[in-house]
Amino acid sequence: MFEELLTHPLSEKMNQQAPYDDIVVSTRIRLARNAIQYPFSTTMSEAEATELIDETERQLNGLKGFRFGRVDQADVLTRTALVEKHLISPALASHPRTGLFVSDDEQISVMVNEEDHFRIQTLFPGLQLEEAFRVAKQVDQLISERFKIAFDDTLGYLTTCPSNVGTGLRASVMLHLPGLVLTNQIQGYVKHLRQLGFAIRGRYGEGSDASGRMFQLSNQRTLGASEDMLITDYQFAVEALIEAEQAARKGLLEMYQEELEDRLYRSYGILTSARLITAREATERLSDVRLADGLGLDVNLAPNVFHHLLVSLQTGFLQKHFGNQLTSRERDIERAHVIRQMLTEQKNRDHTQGGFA
Amino acid sequence: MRCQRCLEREAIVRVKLPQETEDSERVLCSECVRELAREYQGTTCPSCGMTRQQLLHLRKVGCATCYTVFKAEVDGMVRQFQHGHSKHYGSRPDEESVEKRLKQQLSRLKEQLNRKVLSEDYEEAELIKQQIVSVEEDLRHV
Repeated sequence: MFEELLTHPLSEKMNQQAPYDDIVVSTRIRLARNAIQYPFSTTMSEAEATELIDETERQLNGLKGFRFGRVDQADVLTRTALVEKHLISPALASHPRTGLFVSDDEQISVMVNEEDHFRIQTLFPGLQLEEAFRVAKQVDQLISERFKIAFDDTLGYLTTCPSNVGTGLRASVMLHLPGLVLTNQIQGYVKHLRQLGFAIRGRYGEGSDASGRMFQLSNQRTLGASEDMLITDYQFAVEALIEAEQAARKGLLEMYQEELEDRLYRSYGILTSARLITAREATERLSDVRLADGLGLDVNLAPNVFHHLLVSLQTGFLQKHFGNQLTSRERDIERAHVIRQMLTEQKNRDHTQGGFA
Repeated sequence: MRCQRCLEREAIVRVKLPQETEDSERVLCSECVRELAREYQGTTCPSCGMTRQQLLHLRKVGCATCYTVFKAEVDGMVRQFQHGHSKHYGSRPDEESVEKRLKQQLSRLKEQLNRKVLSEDYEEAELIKQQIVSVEEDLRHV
């Protein structure tokens, strides 16, 4: 049932142009909800967990444009690839007795039996916080009509971990920040944003490193303000980061044009010639080439193609695509091949459309 | 000084008891302190069986009832996680969705239509029918 989702690294919706997509790769909104008649995940029995999955399937099955599947019954590769597509969280992939509702356009997913009973998630390209929240709220209402939700007048939505209590709302955008990394300013921003109540971490959330100069910014506080206020505050933080990144890129180009161009063109040279490449190096080089495109150099890597490659080059997705387990050497070969092919395609497209230099 | 709990052994510590409100300081002997601590940590949520010790260790609750049973502990965690905030200002689960409102409107209109048809008030019925069509159209978009 998940196979169809994994035939392509990006959904059609994610492949579209979006606001600020030269810096913001994607926007995610997550709402944490629990049904009151079941114990929370920390004390739930196996039987109760299974019952909740079955009940959710019964309740939501009639919805048009959605599919449902058991995540715990899918094989490891499928689960890894779902994480790489950001359709599920790493935690859901490793928990026993889990389910996933996902819309056909892949913008909405509802994880069942993650840390909370329901984790509603919407995924949009670029920076689209309000739209992503609006859709998530609609799904929330659908669930609230079918389940009695744990809610307290003072504390709001009750969650397994008190860090999510209140609105249960976590906004999270993925940003490509090569300018701030290359100018060594990123650590300062990370510290500053932490003090303001925002968390900034690597691509796949907690614990993951920021390979490819990709960062995930999210709000930490979920209580004490309405959803709209939380989102407005959050949007300010994102916009501040975008401005800083734009300024850093401009500064780099003004002060070190030759050095920067040299570095970026070298990365392009490596990607178009390499026969073996690790995921780590690939994401780093692709980040360079994407920056080069953004600065108007003579290479072509649109934001959506960059995102497409980032997902398809991940270990799980690559193996899924080739339908079997690959050794790490075979993966490096395939990875280099996929990149060369994609960059050639991009280059040719540039020429046929007239392009720019 | 004698222990204020067993009134037998020699007291060795002065402790502040967490739950009691008035006169919560007690002078206790070592055995009574241990016993009280065990009792206190062993407090169990009647709904899910989570103990206070587990809750403090995990820093997560076991069910909705834990928020009431372990109010002091949970409130402390909430303040810490939520940067001092302790009150919810956001939305509620009982708010009506567009879909529900439209469906209710639709069933009301259908009932009215029935009545108009029965009373052979066909002009009015036609008007209501048009409204039903437009609500049904709206429903397709939510």
